[in-house]
Amino acid sequence: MTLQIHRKGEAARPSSAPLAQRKAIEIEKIMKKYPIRRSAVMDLLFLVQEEHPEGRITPEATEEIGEICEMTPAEVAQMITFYTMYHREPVGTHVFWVCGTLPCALSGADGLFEYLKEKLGVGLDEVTEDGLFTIKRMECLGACSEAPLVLAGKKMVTKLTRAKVDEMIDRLRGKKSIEDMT
Amino acid sequence: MSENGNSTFEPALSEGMVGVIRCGGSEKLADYRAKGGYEGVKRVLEELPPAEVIEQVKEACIRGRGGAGFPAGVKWGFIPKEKKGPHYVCVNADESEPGTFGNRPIMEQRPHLLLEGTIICAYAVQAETAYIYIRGEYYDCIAQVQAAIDELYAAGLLGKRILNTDFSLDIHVHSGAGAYICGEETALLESIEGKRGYPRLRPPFPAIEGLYRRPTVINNVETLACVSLVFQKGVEWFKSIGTEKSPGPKVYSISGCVRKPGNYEAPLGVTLRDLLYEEKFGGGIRDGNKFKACTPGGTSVPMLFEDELGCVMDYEGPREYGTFLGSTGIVVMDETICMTWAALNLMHFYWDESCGQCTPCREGTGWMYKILTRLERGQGEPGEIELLENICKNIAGRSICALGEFATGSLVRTIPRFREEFQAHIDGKCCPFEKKYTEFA
Ligand SMILES: Cc1cc2nc3c(=O)[nH]c(=O)nc-3n(C[C@H](O)[C@H](O)[C@H](O)COP(=O)(O)O)c2cc1C
Ligand code: SF4
Ligand code: FES
Repeated sequence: MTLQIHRKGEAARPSSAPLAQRKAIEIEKIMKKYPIRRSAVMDLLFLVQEEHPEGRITPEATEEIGEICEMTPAEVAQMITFYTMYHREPVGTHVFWVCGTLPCALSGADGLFEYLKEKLGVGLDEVTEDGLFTIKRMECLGACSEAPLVLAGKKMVTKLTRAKVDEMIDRLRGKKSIEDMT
Repeated sequence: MSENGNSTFEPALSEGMVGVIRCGGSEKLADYRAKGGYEGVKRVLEELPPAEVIEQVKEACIRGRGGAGFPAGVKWGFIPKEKKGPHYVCVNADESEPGTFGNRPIMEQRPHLLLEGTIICAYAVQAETAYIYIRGEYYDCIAQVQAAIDELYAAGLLGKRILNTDFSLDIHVHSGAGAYICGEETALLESIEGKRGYPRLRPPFPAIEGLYRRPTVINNVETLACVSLVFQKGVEWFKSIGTEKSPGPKVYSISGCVRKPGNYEAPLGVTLRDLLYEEKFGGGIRDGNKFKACTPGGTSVPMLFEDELGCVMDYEGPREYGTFLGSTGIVVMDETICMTWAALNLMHFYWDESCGQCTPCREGTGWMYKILTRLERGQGEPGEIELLENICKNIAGRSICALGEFATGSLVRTIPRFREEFQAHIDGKCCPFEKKYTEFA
């Protein structure tokens, strides 16, 4: 099954033009930071993943990045599997990174996991049927004093309660911003 | 009362901003300059030769805030004086040690305090490029630090010929992508080079062969923030705070079962008891419960217990108890918490984050995770607690980096202290604790 999910502000599909042309300006800017091309690989993986409708890095993109960074596809693939923030499998439009490490676990993280799974009807790493959400377990997100918490996409939402989770999900379903949630 | 718990202490790193505040705006360049910001850079570039800068950092005795407490000036002094090619500075902003969140407010709220120290460091070791390695999940930090860097280029404080001197410097942000091990300094270098974060065997040390095989200094965010303070306010000011061997202010991160979790700045050498119980800090144990155990320096160091609250929280104090100040991430557990359950949660972390290069770390963390899982489920066999202790002994000192040993932090002092509690899981064939965490409301 292929999911057709529109990511915020992006076209349904990335253009078929090769990555090097499509993102020429961004790539140039990244390359300028480093003396060797390979150092750009991590930024490029984020760039590709963010524009992909399923939020993932495809085998084709892996090859293209390899060409740009002077790496073999296998070397690029090794990066994707090593670093947890890159995905090869589809994820929902909104990824909930839930922290489960001790400080958060001492403040209700286990209950948060259960509530999210029950509310969205999915297990960890799965995509909801509407293609909107994926829950992932993350290790300490560096905000332990405000547990329990979730990194919703790029937005950290802390001191979660059932009511706050409900509001966050309602807003996202209604295509509303959660930027002002803290 | 600790001798350093003086009431005249003025927070300088955080300026009293406590907790993790994701403010829309961080301190802008103009505001920072109005408080004397970048006066340090000006004085250094215009008046002090690099060797003299290193001398002053040595004199101030700034201990590395990333965990090991190594004096920054001594580290900078290892960089070859004769330059045969590029030198690099890498800022360690990977902050992934569980229970540690003190670098975050510096980057989010006072990014210039970090950047000024980075410029001074680069000048001292004659580097022309610096990378700030920020963990990928810290989107707000990445945005605020990048915005501050852009301000500096616009103001002529970065780029070619800074303040019309001969010194040029570029600072770039490198975003991580979710790997705890990249906080280990040589793994961090590998990651910037576009590789998996596999720690390197030493020697060669980064000061000789670091990033791109060139001499490199790696320092923590707070270490460099302290450098800024030293050159703004002076060596004597810095040494007037804290203890003799561990001078200066420190951001302590307190989390878990306390009434007021958060980041608190205090002079190095404040006691653990003050940090946990004083109203201006942790405010005591939550729900009126009794204190049971805590990690003094992130979850990678051995824990401290009730009769050890007098521990002086500088780089020397915790050593008296066989543990370390580490990252000053204080995770507090109260009497309702099962230590087997806590150790299991942490072992999952280390097992998950082991890079897998060394057999004792890769296999050892996996075995310990499995044993702890069995114990917590009441399926443990007699002798398994001793087996855990045996594995702990056999990892330490037998791996490329310190992660292997970090994985044993939740067990080495905890098992002897709470042996009966661990044993009860085997004898009773279930976990003797009812509630292991606060309910999710
Ligand atoms: C597994 C592991 C993880 C580490 N994580 C961090 C980290 O997140 N931040 C940090 O500053 N240092 C971390 N360190 C310590 C660094 O290797 C290094 O000692 C430190 O960045 C040096 O900076 P400092 O001298 O300013 O403290 C880690 C070490 C190990 C072994
Ligand atoms: S000790 Fe563990 S994390 Fe460190 S290099 Fe070895 S396997 Fe990797
Ligand atoms: S343990 Fe969850 S943010 Fe640190």
